[in-house]
Amino acid sequence: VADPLSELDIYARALADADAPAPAGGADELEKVEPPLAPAKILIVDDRIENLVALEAVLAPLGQPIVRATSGRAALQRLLREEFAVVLLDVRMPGLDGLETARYVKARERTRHTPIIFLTAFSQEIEEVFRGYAAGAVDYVTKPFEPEVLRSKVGVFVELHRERAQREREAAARGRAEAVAVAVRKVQSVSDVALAHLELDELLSELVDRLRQLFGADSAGVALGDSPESLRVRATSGLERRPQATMTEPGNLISEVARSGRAQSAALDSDSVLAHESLRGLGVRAMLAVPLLTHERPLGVLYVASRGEDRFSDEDSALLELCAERASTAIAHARRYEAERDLVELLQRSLLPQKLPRVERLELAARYRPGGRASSVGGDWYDALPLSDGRAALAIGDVVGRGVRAAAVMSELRHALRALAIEGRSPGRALEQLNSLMVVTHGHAMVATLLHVVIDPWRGKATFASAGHLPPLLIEANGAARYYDCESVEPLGVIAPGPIPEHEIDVPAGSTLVLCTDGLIERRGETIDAGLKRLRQAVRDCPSDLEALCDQLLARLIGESELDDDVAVLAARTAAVASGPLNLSFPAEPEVLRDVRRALADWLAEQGAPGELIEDARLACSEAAANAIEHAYGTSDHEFQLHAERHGSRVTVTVRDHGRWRSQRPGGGAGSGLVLIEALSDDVVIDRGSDGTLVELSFDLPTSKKAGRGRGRA
Amino acid sequence: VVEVVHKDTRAELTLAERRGIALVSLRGEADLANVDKIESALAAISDDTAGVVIDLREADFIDSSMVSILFDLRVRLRRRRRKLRVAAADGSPIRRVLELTGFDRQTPIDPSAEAALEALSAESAR
Repeated sequence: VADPLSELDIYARALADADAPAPAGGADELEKVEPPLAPAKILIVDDRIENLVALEAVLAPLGQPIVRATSGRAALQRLLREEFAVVLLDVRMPGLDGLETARYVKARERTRHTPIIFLTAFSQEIEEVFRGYAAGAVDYVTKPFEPEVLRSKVGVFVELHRERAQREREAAARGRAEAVAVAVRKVQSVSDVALAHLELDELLSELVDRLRQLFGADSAGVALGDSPESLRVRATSGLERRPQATMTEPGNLISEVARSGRAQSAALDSDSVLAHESLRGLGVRAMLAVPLLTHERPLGVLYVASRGEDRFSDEDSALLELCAERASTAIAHARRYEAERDLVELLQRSLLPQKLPRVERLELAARYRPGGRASSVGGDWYDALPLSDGRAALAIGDVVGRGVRAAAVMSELRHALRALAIEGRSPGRALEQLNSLMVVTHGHAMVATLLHVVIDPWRGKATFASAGHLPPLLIEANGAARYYDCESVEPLGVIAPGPIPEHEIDVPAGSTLVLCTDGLIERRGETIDAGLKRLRQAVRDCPSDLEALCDQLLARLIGESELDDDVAVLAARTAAVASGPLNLSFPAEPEVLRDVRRALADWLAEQGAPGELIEDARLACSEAAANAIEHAYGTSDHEFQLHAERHGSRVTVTVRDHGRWRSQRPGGGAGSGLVLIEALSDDVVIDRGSDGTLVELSFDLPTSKKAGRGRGRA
Repeated sequence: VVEVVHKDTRAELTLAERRGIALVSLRGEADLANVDKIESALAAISDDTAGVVIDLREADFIDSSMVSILFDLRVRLRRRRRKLRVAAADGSPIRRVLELTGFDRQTPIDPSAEAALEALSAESAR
C-alpha cells in the first residue's frame, strides 16, 4: 500500500471495519467452495527480508500459506482483510514496533483472539518478555531460533486454527470452538504480568491454582529440581495436601517426565506407581505431566491430575506444554531474582567495614539494618578511615536504586572517596570529584546522596560537605543536640559540575556526631523535618557508651516495626578528656624555642585550656626553655626535655636540662626571664641539681565558665 | 620610605622616618633565636632622629630577651638625649610582657604607633 497512512489512520479504519461484513471478494467465494478445511494462514512480520526468507523456509513444511509483511503497519493492513491462524511478529521494528502492533491487533474485535508469537533477539531483557505477554502474545521465540522448536510452536496454532475452522462449519461444534479460543486466551493467564512480580513461593501457588482452573482438573502441582533425584513438589492445588519434601520413590510420572524431558499423559488405577506419594489414595485416574525447561535445561515438572475416566488429550498436552514454557520464564525470573537478592545482600555486607578502624581520641560505632522486604535491598553504606595528623574521614551515603548495580556504584563511591580522602582532598572537593566520576561512569543514570566529614579530634574541628544527604547531628558533652544545616546541594549524579560548599564546625571534647540515612527517620506521610526532630529527641539521655547510643537510636526510632528501607547509622565521639601527658625532647638550640611554644600551646588547647592561659603558659615555658638552652652551653648533652601533664584542673609543665644554672643575661632586663616565669605561673618550683636543672611550672585551669583566670596584672 | 633592616624566618624588622622620628616595626616572633640580629639592626639606626618609636602591634611573640634589648636601647638613647616610646595594643600578650617585666614603668607604652609618634613630637617640641 503506497499511501502513507499514519498508525492512527490505520487504527481508526480498523475500528470502522471491525463489524462490517467482509467484502464479497473472489477469494472468499473460492474458499467456500474448497473442500473441508480452510488453509491456516501464517502472517510473518519482520523488517528484514532475510529474516522473512528464513522463517518461510522453516515454516514451509507445515504446508500452510505464508504471508509476509515488512512493517507493523503492513501487518495491520493484512489483518484487516484476512484471517490468520497465527502471527509471528518481530519486536524490534522501525516505525510501529511489535508491541504496539500487537496492541492494535488486540484492540480490534475480529483479530482479538488471533495468536501472536513474538520474535526477538536472544539477549532481550526478561522484562521485555513480560511486556510482550502483557501486549497479548501467546508465545515468545528468541532469535536465533531452533527451526524444529519454532515449527512445532507454530504447528500448535495451525492445528488449533484448523480445528476451530473445521468446527466452525458445524453448528453443533461451535461451542467447542469457543472453548478452544478461551483456552488459548487462558494460556495468557499463566504468563500474566502480575506473576512476574511475585516471589517464588507465591508465584508457584498462584500458578498451580490457575492451571487447575484452566484444565478443570482435580489437582495441579509443580515440582522443581534440576535432576530427577532432586525433584521436590513445591506447590499444589486441589486434592493434594501439603506435598512431601522429596520424590523418594522411583518410577512415578513426575520423575519419568523429568528424566525423559518429554510430556506424558497416563491413565492410572487405584494403586499405580505412576502417582507420586502425596497423590496416592485420592482416586486420581488420569494424569498429565510436562517438563519445565529453561534454556533447554531442566527446571522441574508441571502436572495436572483428574478423577475422571478420560485421559488427557494431545491437545491438553500441547496446552500444558505451552503453559510450562510460559511458567518456566516466570519461575526462572523469580529464582534469579532470589539469587540476586542474596548476592546483593552479601555484596552490600562485604562493602560495609567489617570492623571500624581504631582512631586515637575518636570513638566510632555503626549499625546497618537491611530493609525487611525482599525487594528492599538498597544502597545504604558508611565508611570510616583514619587519615594523617590524627584526623579521620567519615562517610555515609545512599545510592538510589536497588540490586547489584546500586551495590556496584556504592563500591565505586566508597573506594574513590577513600583514595580522595587519603590524598588529602577536602570534603567539598572530594564530593565535587566524585560527582564528576559518577557522571563520567554512569551518565545521569545513577544518583547517590553522600555526607562526608573529615574530623580532627585533636583540634576539635570537623569539616563536612553534603550532596543531598541528611545533615549531621551534633550532641555536645552536656547533651544538647543540634543539626548543622547546610545549603541544600543535590545528590551526586545530578548536580551540575562545580564546587560543593563545605562547612567547618566545632566538635569540642566529648561531643558526638551522628550521621544516618533516611531509613532511620523517614515515615510515610511525614515530612523530613518531623523525622529529623524525632531523631533529635531520640538522642536525649545520650548514653556514655557509643554502642549503647546506636542501640538506643534503633530501638527508639524503629523498634520492632518492619523496615521498608535500609538503615545505616554512623556515630563518632571525640575523647572527653584530652590525651595523656606531653613528652618531648629538643636539641638545646635557640631555634627550637618556637617549636617548644607551639607544642605546648597545642597540647593545652587539647586540654580545653582558655586562650589567656595558653598565652601565659607558653611564654613562661619559653622562658624556662631559653634558660635550659643557655645552661646547655659547654655541656656534652645538648638536649632538654619538655614534659606536661594534667591532674584534674591542674596542668604541670616541666623543663629539664642537663647543664648548670647560670647567672642571668647581662643588661637592663637582667632576671626578667625568671620574673616572667614567676608572674605567669600559678606555682613554680626550680630544682638546681648537680646533673642539671628542673623547672616545674603549674597552671590551674578554670573550673567553671564563670570563674575567669583572675591573674594579677602588674 | 620603609626599609627592611632585619629579616629572618620568624621575624621582620622595618625602619621608616616619620616627622624626624625613627619608626621601627617588628613583625613575627622575637626570642633568643633572633634577638642578637634584631639588636644589631637597632644599633645601626642613625642618631639623626629626635627619637625612636618601636611598634610591636604586629609582633606575635616577644620573650624576656627581647625586653632586655628594649631596656638596653632605652639606656643607649637616653645617653644621647633621645626619647623612646613603644606601641603595643592594650590587653595584648605583648603589652602584658612589657608590664610584667616592669618595662612600662620607665618607658611610656602607647596603644598605636600614631599615638606614640604624636606624643614623641610633642615631647621634643617642649
